[in-house]
Formats: sequence, C-alpha cells, structure tokens
Amino acid sequence: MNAKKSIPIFIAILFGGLTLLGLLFNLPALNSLMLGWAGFIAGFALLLGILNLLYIHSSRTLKKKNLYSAILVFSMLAVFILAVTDNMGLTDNGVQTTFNWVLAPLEAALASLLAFFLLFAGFQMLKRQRTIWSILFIMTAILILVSNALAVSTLLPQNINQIIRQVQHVIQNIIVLAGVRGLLIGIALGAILLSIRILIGLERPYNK
Amino acid sequence: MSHEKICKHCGFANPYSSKFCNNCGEKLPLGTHIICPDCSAANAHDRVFCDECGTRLIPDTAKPEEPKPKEPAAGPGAFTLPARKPGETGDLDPLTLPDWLRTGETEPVDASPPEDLPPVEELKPEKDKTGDLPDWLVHESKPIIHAPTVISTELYRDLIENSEDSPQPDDLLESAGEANLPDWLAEPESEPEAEPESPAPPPVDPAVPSPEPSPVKTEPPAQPAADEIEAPDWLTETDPGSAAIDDSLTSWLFDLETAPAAKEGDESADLSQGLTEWLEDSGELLPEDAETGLTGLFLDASEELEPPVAPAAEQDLTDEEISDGLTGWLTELEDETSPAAEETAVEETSGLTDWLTSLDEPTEATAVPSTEEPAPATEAAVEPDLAWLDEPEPTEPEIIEPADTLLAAAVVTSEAIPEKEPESEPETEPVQEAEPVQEPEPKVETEAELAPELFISEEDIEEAEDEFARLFAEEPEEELPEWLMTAELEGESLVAETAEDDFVDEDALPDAADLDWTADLVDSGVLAAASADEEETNTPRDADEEPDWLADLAAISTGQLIIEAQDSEPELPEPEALDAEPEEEAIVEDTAVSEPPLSLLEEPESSLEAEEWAMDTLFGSDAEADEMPEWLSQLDDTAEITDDTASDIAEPPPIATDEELPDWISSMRPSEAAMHDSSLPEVLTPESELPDAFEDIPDDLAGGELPDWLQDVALAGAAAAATSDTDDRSEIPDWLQAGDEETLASGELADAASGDWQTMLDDLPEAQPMAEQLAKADIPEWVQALKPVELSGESRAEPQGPEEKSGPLRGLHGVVPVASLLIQPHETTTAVEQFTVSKEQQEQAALLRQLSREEPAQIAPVAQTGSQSLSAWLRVLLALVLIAAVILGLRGANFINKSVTAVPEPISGVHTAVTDAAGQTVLVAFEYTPSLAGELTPEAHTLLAQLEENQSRLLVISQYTSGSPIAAELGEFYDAENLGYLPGNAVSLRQLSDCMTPGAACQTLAGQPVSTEASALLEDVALIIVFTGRRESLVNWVEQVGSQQDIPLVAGVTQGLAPSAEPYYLTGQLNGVLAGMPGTAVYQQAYTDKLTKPVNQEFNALIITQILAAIFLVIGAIMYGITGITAKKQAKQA
Repeated sequence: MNAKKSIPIFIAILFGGLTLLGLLFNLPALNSLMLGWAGFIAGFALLLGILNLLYIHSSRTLKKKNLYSAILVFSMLAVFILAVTDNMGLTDNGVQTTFNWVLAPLEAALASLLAFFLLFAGFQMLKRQRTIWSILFIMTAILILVSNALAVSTLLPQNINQIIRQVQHVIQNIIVLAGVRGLLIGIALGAILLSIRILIGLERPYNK
Repeated sequence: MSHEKICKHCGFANPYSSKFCNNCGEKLPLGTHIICPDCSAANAHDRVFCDECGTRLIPDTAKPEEPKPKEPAAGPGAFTLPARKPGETGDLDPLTLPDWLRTGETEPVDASPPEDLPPVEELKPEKDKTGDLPDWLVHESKPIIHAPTVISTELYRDLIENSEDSPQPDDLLESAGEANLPDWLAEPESEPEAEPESPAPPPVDPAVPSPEPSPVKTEPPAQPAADEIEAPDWLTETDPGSAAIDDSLTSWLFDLETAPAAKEGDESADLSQGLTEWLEDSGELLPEDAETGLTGLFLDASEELEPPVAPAAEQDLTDEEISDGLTGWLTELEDETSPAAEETAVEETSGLTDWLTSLDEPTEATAVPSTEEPAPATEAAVEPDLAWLDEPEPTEPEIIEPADTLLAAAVVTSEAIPEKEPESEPETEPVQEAEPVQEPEPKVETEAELAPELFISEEDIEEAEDEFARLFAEEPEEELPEWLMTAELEGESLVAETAEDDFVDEDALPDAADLDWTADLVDSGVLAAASADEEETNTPRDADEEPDWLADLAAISTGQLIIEAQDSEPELPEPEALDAEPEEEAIVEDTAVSEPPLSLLEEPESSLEAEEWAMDTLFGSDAEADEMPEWLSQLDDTAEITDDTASDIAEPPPIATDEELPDWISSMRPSEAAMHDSSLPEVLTPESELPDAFEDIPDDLAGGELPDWLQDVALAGAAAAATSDTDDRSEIPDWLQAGDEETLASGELADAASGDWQTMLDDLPEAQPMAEQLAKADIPEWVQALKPVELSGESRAEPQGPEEKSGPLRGLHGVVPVASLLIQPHETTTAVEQFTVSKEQQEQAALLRQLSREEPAQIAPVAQTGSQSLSAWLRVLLALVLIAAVILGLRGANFINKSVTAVPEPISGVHTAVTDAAGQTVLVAFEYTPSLAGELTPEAHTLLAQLEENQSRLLVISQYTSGSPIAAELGEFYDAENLGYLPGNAVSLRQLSDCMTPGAACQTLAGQPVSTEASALLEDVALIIVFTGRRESLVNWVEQVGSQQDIPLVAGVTQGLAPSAEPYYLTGQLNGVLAGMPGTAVYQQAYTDKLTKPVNQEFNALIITQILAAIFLVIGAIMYGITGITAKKQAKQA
C-alpha cells in the first residue's frame, strides 16, 4: 500500500480509537490530550487557510488584476490591521465597528433577499410546475405564514386565532416534527456509520 | 470422449472405475469400456484404438474387404504383370514391379476368370492339389505357376505321365556321365514309378470323357522314342565345336540322341519329365496365384492323367515318334506327321472336351497362317492385325539387338512365328507354339484329344496337322542346319549370346523348322535368353506332338494357350542348371526374360487395350497367340493363307489406336494401304518408307524415350533407308530373301504398298499457303490513311501553310500555332452534355445566389414579451410590497395581540431555566452571523436582559468568526465575560464541556489561554443558552456539551429552526426553546412587564410581511394555475 495513504489512515484509526476509548471508559486525560492536539491542529489549519487564501487572492490581484480578490485581500488586511491596532490600542473597537457597520448589514440584506426570492418563487410555482405537490407546498406555506402572523395578531377574532393556533400546532409539532425527527435519526445513523467507516479506514475524508 | 459413465437412471457422470452410480447407487453398465489387450487400459466403447497405447481395440473385420480390382488377366491367362502403357518407354523400374516378380515368389491370389471364359473352377478339376503331384513336379524352392486353364492340364498330365515312362533325362545324363544335372532333374528318377499308379482324376468338363485321354497319351511316349539320331544332328550343328552346347541343350535331349532307345515308356516318361521340369522352372518365375497358370495345368494334368499315360504311351509311341518329338521331329514330320497328324487330329477332336473344342474359332484364326497358300484374300481378314505389325518385322532383327532380354524374348517369339510361315509350310502357329511344350512327350493327337473343344476344333487340328506335315515334307532336314549354320558362322555360341544376338541369329536363321520350334518357344513363353540351345531343345519334337498341344495353344487364343506356353518358359531354368559357365549370363537373363512373357500371357484377351500393342511391340508379346502369329504370319498369309482359312479367321485382335498410342509411335504405323498391300516386312522392300518415318524421330527421343528396340529401329531404320537394296538383303535373313524372290505375292504386295503409298501422296491436294486461303479483310480507312505515300503511290501534296522558321518544327508547313487556351477564356465548341435541372434545383440555386448577394442583416434585439415584462414588474412589485410591509410594520399600526392567554411550553421552559440560573453563571453562545441577527438578536436581548435582571454572570462565546463580534458586542453590552472565538466545532465544544466540569481548571481552551477567572466561571456555569440559526451548531451543543454536563441547555433559534429544536426539547435535551420573533414577543408579553419597542415593531412588520407573502402566494397560485389550465386547454384544442 502506498505510504501516502496508509499513514493518514493509520493516524485516523489510531486517534479515533483512542478517542473512542476515552469516551467509553471516561478517560478525561486522554480525551483532553486528544482534544488539545485536535484544537491545535484545527487552529494551525485555520492559520494555514487564512494564509493560503491571502496568497491565492494576492496572486490573482497581482497577476490577474482581479478586483474582487483585491477587495478580499484588502478587507483581510484591514481587519487584521484593525485587530492589531485594537490590540495595540491604536484604535478602539475598530474591528467591531467594521463588523457592525459593514458585515452585519450585508449579511442581513442577503438574508432578506432570501425571503424575497422565496416569495417570488412561490408566486410563480404554478406557472412552471402545476402538480399536486407544488400546490400542496404552496398551501402549506400560505397556511404557516398566515398562522404565525394571525395567531399573535389582532387581525382576526380570538376564536379564529385559536383555531389557527391549533392548526399551526398540528402542522409544526406533529407533521413537521415527525419529519425533522426522522431527518435527525437519519443523520445520527449516518454519523454512526461514518464514524465506523472512519475508524476502520474505509472512509478517508482526510485524503480528499 | 469423456472417461465417464453416464448413469442411465439419474444421468450422473461417474468415473469409469465406478460400478455403481455415485449419485443414486444405480448399477452402472459394465460394458461401457473396452480393455485394451495391450495395456489393459479402459477405453470407451466407441474407441477403435486405445487411448493409451494406440492398440486397435476392435478387430478390423467390420469392413468387408473391398474386392480388389480384378487383374486384367483373369482366367486362363490370369497373370497380371506390369504392362506398360503406350508411350511409356525407358528402362523398367524394378520397384514398380510386383513383389512376386522381383522376388520370384508368388502370392496366392484369387484370379477370377474372365467373363468370356468358363470359371477356372470349372476348367480345373482340382487345383492346388500339388500334394498329389510327384515331388519332381513340385518344386519346393520356387513357386510354381498354376496354369489358369484346364485345357492343357489333361494334356500335360498325359505328357507328364507318359514322360514318366520315357527315359528320364537324368538317366540319360547318368549314362552320359553328366553330373551337372540339377536336383529337379535328378528327382524325377525315383518318383515316376509311383505316379502312374495314381488314378487320373476325372476331367473337369463332364463333356470330356475320361477314357479319351488315354489314347491320346499313348502317342506322346512314341514320340520321344522316335528319331534319336536326328536330334543330335541339328543340335550338334548349332555348335558342333563346343561342348557347352551339349550342356546348354537339355541333357535329356542330348542323351536321347546318343543313348540307346530305352523302353518306349521310359523314354517317354523321361522326356515328359524333362518337359515338365523345365515347365516347373518356368513356373518358378510365375506367380503362384495363377492357379490357372500353366504349372497348375501341368500339375493337374500329372495328377489326373498319370495312370492312363503309361499304357497309352507304351502302346502308341514308337521310336520314330519319339525321335520326332525330339530333334528329328522337324525333319521326320514329313514322313510321320502327315499320317500321324491326321490321326491325331481326329483323335484330338474326339477327345477334346466341349469347352476346348469351342475354341475352334481362335484356333482357326491361328490356323489361318498355317495354310500354305499365300492367300491374299485372307489379307483382308488379317489386315488389322498385320497392318502395323508388319512393319516392325523387317526391322525386328535390328530392333531386337538393343533390346534387353525381355524385349528380346518377346521379339524372338514374334519373329519365330512368321519366319516359319513364309519359308516353310504354313503350319498353324498355335500348333507350332505348342510344340516346344509338348515336344518330347505327347503326340499331337493326344493333346488334341485332351484339349478342350473350346479351344480347338477338329477341323483346325486337322488342317494344322496337314500343314504341319506339309511343312516338314517339303523342307528337307538340311534346312535346319542351314540356319543353324548361319548361327555358327556368326562365331558366337547361342548359349552365350545375349538376347540380342539370339534375335539376330534367329532372324538370320529362320528356317521352316526353326520357325516351328521358335514359334513354339514364342508361344510357350520361352525366352530369348534361353539361347539357341534351349531352342534347339525345343525343336526336337515330333511332328505328331506338335499338333496336339500346339493345337491347344492355338485354340487357346484367349490366353489359356499362352499360359500354357508360359509353362514352357520354365525350360529356361533348365539350361541354366545344365549349362556351363558361359551360359550363366543367359541364365541370368532368362530369369529376367521370363517375366515379360508372363506379362504378355496375362493379357490374352486384352488385345483391345493399347497396352497390348505396346507390350507386343516392346516385349514381343507371345501372350496372344492371335497377335503374334498374325503380323508375323501375314508373311505367310500372303503366300499361304487360303480363302477358306481366311474365312475362318477369327477377328484379329484390335490394334491399338493412334489415340491410345504416342504420336511418335503411332506415326510409325504404316498406312493401312501399305499394310494391306504388303505382308512382307518393309525392310525387304527397297522403297520402304519406314526409315523416312523414323528420320523424323530425333535421336534424343529415340535414345531417351523410345524403347531400346524402337530406338534401334529409329537409328537403324534410317541407316537402312540409306542403304541399298543389296544391303538390306544382306541383312535380311536368307529365308526372307528367298521369300522375296520366291513369293511374288510378297514382292507384289510390297510394290503395291509402295505404289499405294505414292498414289496416296499424289492424291493429296497440294498445300497452299494459309495466307492465300484466308479471305481478305477490309482495312479501315483510318488505317489506310496511315499508309505511307511511297506505298500508296500517290503524289505528294504540296506543302500548305507557312513554313515554320524556328523551333523543333522548323521546316514544316502548316504548323498550327500554339493557342493560349489556358490564358484566354474561350468557349468550347464541343457539345457538352446537357444535364436536366429540376425546378427544385433551380429554386435552390436562385436562393443561394440571392443569399450570396444580400448583405447580412443586422440582428434586431428580441423585444421582451409581455409576460417577461410582467414578471419583471412583478418582482419589483413584490420587493416594493415587502419593503412597504416592513416599513408599515415598523412604523405603522400595531397588529400584535398583547393579550397572551397561554405561553407555549418551550417558551416557559426558557423562562424557567433563566429564572433558575439567577445569580449563577450563564454561558451564552452566539452561534449565528449578522444575517440572522435581526431575528436572533431580539431574543438575545430579551434573555440577556432577564439574566441581567437576575444577576447572573454571563460568559459569551462563539464558534463563528462572524458571531464573535456579536457575542463581543452583546457581552460588552450586558457585561459578560467574552471567551472569544472558539474554533474547532464539536472538538472545541468538547473541550469546553470538559472545562465546565467542576475542578477541571482549564488553562487553555482551543489553544488559547484561559484565565483563571474564566476557568472558574466555566466550572460554575449553571445555564447554557445557545442562540443559533443552524442545526449543526444546535446539535453540537446538545451532543457535546449538554449531554456531558448536567447543565440546563436552552436554545434560542430562528423560527425556521424551531421544528428541529422541538424534538430536543421534547426529549429533554433542551430545557426550553425560544423560536423567532413570535416566541420573543410571547416571552416578553408573558414574562416581562412590557413588550419592548423593537420587538414590537419588528414583530408587527413581520406579521404584515407574512400576511402579504401569503397573499402573494395565493395570487400567484391562482393566476398561474388558471393560466396554466387555460394554456393546456388551448394546447389541446390546437
């Protein structure tokens, strides 16, 4: 077997087994050691990632004159510089200010667009695909929206709101909860299977 | 084949060794394999040969042996000797010969009789009963030829039996002091006594009465007792000076001369023994398979006829007759044979069996030449046979010279017959042929009697005898010495002479008497290599005897006679044994020479085949009594054959056609006219054209392909053509010269032949050139135009056009200038094939022309359709409506129902957990990004505010890079301890969980140093609140932290993540869930005194937006649903 593949597999199996032993037999020292190494490796990996990202986009900026890459590099360096200056006391909450005034509104705007696009897609759903499932999907969406809004509003009479709440409860706590539970169970089973595969070396995500 | 046994019950394949089925236990068949007799290996039942060793497992009897192709010679002449096809020349390949010919040993072969002849079984009374024969007749060392016919069996039995009574050669030799006698000659001495005692078996043919042979047998003994003095006369004359001649001569003949006449019966017995002995020797060379052969005949004859021979011989034979049967038989025939022959003829005919007498026709044919008269009328009947055979005659002496012993023997036989006839009386050839065989013993009468009627008719026999008597009556005894003297003059011993010499001598010495015995030799199969001594031994025979067995031979023209004659071939070995050293060569040759006659004898009736001709010409076949005498006897026929006999002549054997023969050989044939006209050899005629014919034959061909004798013919013939008539005559034997001079017929025929030949040539149209015969063809004009002016004779036309002044064409007129066809466009005048263009093609061409001329039109931008613009406007409208709803909710009327009657359990659980953690450390994890800050931040503020009110110590932490600022901001806002960013997802959460373990005293967390205060706070955490909008984060917190520590875990999630968090709440892994803006609003309304403004505004805006969104979905569904249905209907209608 190729050493390039066998060594990672061996390491993964070894430390996976050790971690498992620490959890099964409640060996905090072992678990802490493993987690410390894992955290160190994760921090080092993050650093490598940041440097790699900086190197790539810097190259693109210098070689290909890519504007977006230049913005990315500039943003990184700016936040880094602000963080350094914040730590040096040269600036005051420079990073936080940048976050609050730049990053937060941007992400909020993007999330709001999501609501808009979802609404528009629902509006034209029957235009492209007139099936019973699409109709059911639209009706469910309408019902959830209306129930969430009207249940806590004063737009409708209290009796109607009560009925709407019961419908909402059935939908969310029975239908949706059943689906989510099934999804979670599946995820759990998948996680178990994936863990076993990793432990026995069949799954090698670290080689990708 | 599989080495398995298939169970018939279940079909299971078992190994061969299994006796019972391995599957079902059924008993397996035992006979499914064959044990090899050699290696004992088991083989499948369908194996023929062993798989292991290859031994044949099944005897080869399944196939009935296919009947071998019958040999051509079946029946009387049932010998199949290798016969050459016409055209095959050159040396004989000994390898091609059968084994029995090469080795001298024969194999018994069932020779089926020919269809025309009676079956051999009928003809032979008892065959293969050699055990009954006396020892002296049965040769041990060498195979004996079994004569195929029964014709002569009785005859030779009589001969043998009679010969027993006659003095034995050994006796004579002993008296003469000869010690060179072979054993076979010495043996008979002791045994002849017992032979007469054995009763003669009944003849095969019931028609032949048993008592008849007895009178016949009485005669032979008389013959050997006859002239004793004459025999030495001509024998001694052959080579008076050499004692070897005596040796060469059969001792018994020699003794007969000198020894006193013993008892007649003894002498006859001796003679008969002597004959039989050499006949036996001849049988040595013949195959045993020839049960119908001569030896068989002799043996049978000895068996059957022994008893009656003795008395008959004693009674009938006289000393004179004996002498006739010996040397003096030729001369004394004049006196004795004439009456005796007549008598014997009558007796023969009476004694002949039916099947022998039925052979009258062939005998007649053979008897024809015996007629004294030239009988030109018979030519017509003899023509076919004599036609082409006549030619070789004159050249035979020359032809024979180079021939090997085989050829020589054949030629001798062929010559001997004609030699007799022109000179001497026209004795029937068959009679003459039979003489040497029966010389000493039986009279002609006895033989004739014994001979079946099939072969000899009474009339023929009578005629033959008459002629025979005339022959000897006319020719004095002195004639014999003449040709013998000629042999002496040549200064060579006949014994020592080769076959070639023999032929020459014989040719040169063809007396009538010689012809007789030579013909006998020929017919009897005596080989040329037998030398003159042997011939001499054959000559001393009684004239009375000759008709007997010669009549048989003549009668057995079908081949039986020939086979009998072959029996005479064994005479050759006798001289070998007797002869001295100089004869050894001849002996050797005899052995070889003895074969050709056999081959010839094999083909008695196959005269139709071309092989016969070839064999006859090449080997001088003496097999067919018809052919041999015919072409030779043609000489006789011209002078002797009478009209009467000619009418009786049987159909001559067909001559090989030219098609069957090679061209060069067929070309040698003279024209039929010549053959008809001339019976004499063309050598005798000075105008012979035969040499001319041979001139055309190249020497190479003659030397390579031609047989020796023909090669000589070609060469010598050319020389002969160049020589004068005198030269020819010098080479021609005297008897032939005399015949020319004496017989006008021959000369006339020769002249006539030449004349006819010339006339034929004259009659031929003159040859004309082929060109004149061909019709002239029309020459095309264009070809005639090419004819040169000089040949056409037309005057030259004056040159037209300007003269070329330069260039290679300078001096020529009317040179066409070179046109710049390639440079200047021009129209071709030649008609161009017009193609039909269809209308469609024209339209396509017009379109292509139009497209090529038109400039490409600029593509106009596609105008947006109404639906596309509506969609765009709809998007904008929706965006505007949403913005308006948010604005309306924030700034507009409050639609939130503030009278909350019931709080959901998850929300109450959050309140409970927060309340319980009052005054304790609460770890708040901000696991969301600013994108979800609008929904989660109100929750965080609601709970943090309450915690702050409860004086709980806050620790904030985030695993999101973008969440850490939120945590830092809120933590700063609520005076919380910020643990910072915690990378590592589940791992770091696991470390964090360990740090929250009491007494853990974590110093580092995720690689970052942890202060002591922070570490102490982690150990004191009483509540964990996770604000997240992502399921992974919630799961990690629940699994890695909440399950490890007994710390309440509360999740503040978005409204979308609420369904995912609900199960954890239901399972108790989460103590409470606060979901989205509605939950926050409920929580504030239920557990705080007032609803905060931001929450109220945002929640109010959210309600309006959601209601509008629902409205839009309904509108969209209705609109597109209806349009879709209508479009579908329209599509269906369309």
